[in-house]
Amino acid sequence: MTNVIAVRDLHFSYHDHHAALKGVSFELCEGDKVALVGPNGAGKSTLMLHLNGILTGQGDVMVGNARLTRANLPAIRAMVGLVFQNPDDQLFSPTVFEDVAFGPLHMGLSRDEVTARVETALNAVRMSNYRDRLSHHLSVGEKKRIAIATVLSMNPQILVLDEPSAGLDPRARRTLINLLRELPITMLVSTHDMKLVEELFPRTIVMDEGLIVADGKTKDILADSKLLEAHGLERP
Amino acid sequence: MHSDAFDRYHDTESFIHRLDPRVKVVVTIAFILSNALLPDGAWLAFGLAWLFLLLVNALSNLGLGFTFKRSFVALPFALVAITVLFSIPGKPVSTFHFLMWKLTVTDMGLLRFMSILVRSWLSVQMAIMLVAVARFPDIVHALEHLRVPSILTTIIAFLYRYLFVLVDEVFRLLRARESRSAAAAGSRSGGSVAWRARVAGNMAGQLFLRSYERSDRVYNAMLARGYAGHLMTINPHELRNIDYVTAVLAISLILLLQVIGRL
Repeated sequence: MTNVIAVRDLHFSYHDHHAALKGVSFELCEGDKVALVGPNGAGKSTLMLHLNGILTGQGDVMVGNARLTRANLPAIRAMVGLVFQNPDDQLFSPTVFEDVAFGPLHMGLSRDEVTARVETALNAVRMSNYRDRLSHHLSVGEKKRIAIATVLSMNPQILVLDEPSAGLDPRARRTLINLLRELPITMLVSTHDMKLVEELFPRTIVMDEGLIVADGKTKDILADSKLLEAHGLERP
Repeated sequence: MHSDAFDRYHDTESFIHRLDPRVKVVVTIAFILSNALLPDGAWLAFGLAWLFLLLVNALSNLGLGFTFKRSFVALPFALVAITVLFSIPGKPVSTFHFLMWKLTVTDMGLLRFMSILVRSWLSVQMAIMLVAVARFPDIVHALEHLRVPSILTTIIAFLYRYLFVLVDEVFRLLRARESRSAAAAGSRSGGSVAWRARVAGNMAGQLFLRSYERSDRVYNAMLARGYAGHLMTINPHELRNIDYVTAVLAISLILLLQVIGRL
């Protein structure tokens, strides 16, 4: 199978010299649905911000067959759909339509194509009748689904989600899980929701203190109580 | 938690609601400009402008008194003009002492002051009408179509979007303070004024930091979807014949007001 993303020996420090990533390597194949777990401050979000070049550290990030560089950033950002944890950060336009249209418009597509993509993306998250709603009038669950639509409209090769189920009530969480299960797309999802991990992701990557400490079948990792305990995780 | 405190749009079906937002924006600005340009004491023209406003009220299905009821919030701002009462030369009307000053109200000053009051009162009502009959995003679109620089429309759009988020943030901070502002049995709640001022200062600082960090995250979210320094939007608004006719008619009426005011 072909790699969608390959990260090799990635290092990154924030301005305060706090080392957030200390040599991270992993690969994602087409169709993989992978959970990224680990305690707060393990570097999960930092790693995700590297996957479409918002942060750049030392080391290689390959997306598709291209090495991520300054020159191909626009192309990479269309391929890697990054959904942020707080939908209020993700949804910055006044109306739902404008937010979902933002990505395609910036890819330089024609108006008809943009409108068609918005329709498709909203359909995929089952929110097509929300087109003209104002973002600040939506519930958190609705905002999360719209946030996913805002990157689906760019037809990405891979979806990268930062804690998608955080702060959702059981019904909204269930809707989201069903949605993630049905989306036929490669996925990397950071979460603390171990039940979600067990239910949805065949493969799990465990991070702690800027390193990948385990990468394997979810079944095996969840069975390893020593590993889970050492990195502040719990069996579902 | 939602705060809709600033959403003044009234969802109704009416002639005015159906108009293109560009027409609404242009007529509103023309009306306000016209009020500002009418000479002092053009009472007939002011009265007719008021009738014009009532007509818009009637056509909007919001009730004749809709803007009138909401107009008084802005009147205190007209008090800034109070100095013209004393500063314009003319026949003295009355004299009184205020602290250490002896103030003389002149007839010309009074005329100017009343005119300013009426002008601002009429203009504020039309602005209230505009935000009641046009959804805010549509107003921003109208400004874009009217070639307002995109940097301005972008700032307005973001301001509108995050105003709600920020106000929610403020309420959360206030609520957090409230729920910890307890009093031990038998003693008064709250510390000294200086201490409370410091707490309020910390909260303001906290709000700034949160907003600052949020702006970083929003910018990242924009970058992640291909933002490269220029904002693009689609806003499908089409001017129909009725829009043109209404715009021309309204502007003609406003011009007529100007002529009447100068007779």
